[in-house]
Amino acid sequence: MVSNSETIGRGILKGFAAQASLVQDDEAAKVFRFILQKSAAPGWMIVKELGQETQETEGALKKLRDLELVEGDGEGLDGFYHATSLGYQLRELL
Amino acid sequence: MPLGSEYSFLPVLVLAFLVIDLLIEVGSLRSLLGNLLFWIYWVVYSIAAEVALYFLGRVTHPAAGGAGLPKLVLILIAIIATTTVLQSLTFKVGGKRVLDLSRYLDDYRRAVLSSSAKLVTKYERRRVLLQCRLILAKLNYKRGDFESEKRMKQIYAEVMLFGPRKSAEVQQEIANIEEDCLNTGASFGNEVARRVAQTDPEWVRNFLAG
Repeated sequence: MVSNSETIGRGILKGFAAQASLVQDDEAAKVFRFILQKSAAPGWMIVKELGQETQETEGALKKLRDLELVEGDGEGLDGFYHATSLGYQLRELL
Repeated sequence: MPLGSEYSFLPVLVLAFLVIDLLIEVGSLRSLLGNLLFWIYWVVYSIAAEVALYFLGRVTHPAAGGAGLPKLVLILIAIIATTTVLQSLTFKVGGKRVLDLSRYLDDYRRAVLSSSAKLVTKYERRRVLLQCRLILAKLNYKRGDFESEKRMKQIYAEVMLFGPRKSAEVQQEIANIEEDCLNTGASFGNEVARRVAQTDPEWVRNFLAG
């Protein structure tokens, strides 16, 4: 059985791993900050507002989803994205 | 001690406090107030604040040798005390955390923020649907009509050519949408209007107002 402190510890580790990953990826960090600032945003709006290439934004969104920092209700740039609980936790660390 | 009007007034002030606190991060009052998790948060916070107010009232009552503070001051102290206790209460035994109320509260607060942001997503989808319908209505778009489709292509090229994007890339996207519509039977006008509304809501507002 997983204890409460183990669960908390895993959450913290996940947060730090995501933080380390974002520090190394400027584009993903920009996309993440934009989503937090807007609370929720469609993929295409992110491309336009950040002036990125479509592939860059798609890659960043995939990475943020893999890190469980954002959730989307669709695929690629057609989805609408918002931060997860872990995403809000990372915001406090950033 | 009889329960006075301050007890019924307190949840209102707690609500105001929580709305200000969370609205800074969510940015949408509708999403916050439409979120059940937020109301549970408010109930828990209010109960804790009511308990704090009850004990404060007893301690400061003149009959108990207290200073007899004004009700509003008592209420404010109760809210501050509740926030301070809930945000920092940790109970350790033998170096191990037996109770970490602050962490539970932080986790729950983040869950409220995340689910409120999810609601913003839902409202954004509705906004896109509405703008999409209005664009098509304004243009009197007819599916399969050459002039209608030509106008939609012009709009797409106008809105989607920004930043580092090149005209050839935009034209390729138009061709991809056309192909997808042929394969799926979806309306070309609808697909273009949807993407435009997703990309630049401000442009759509100006277009509809013009």
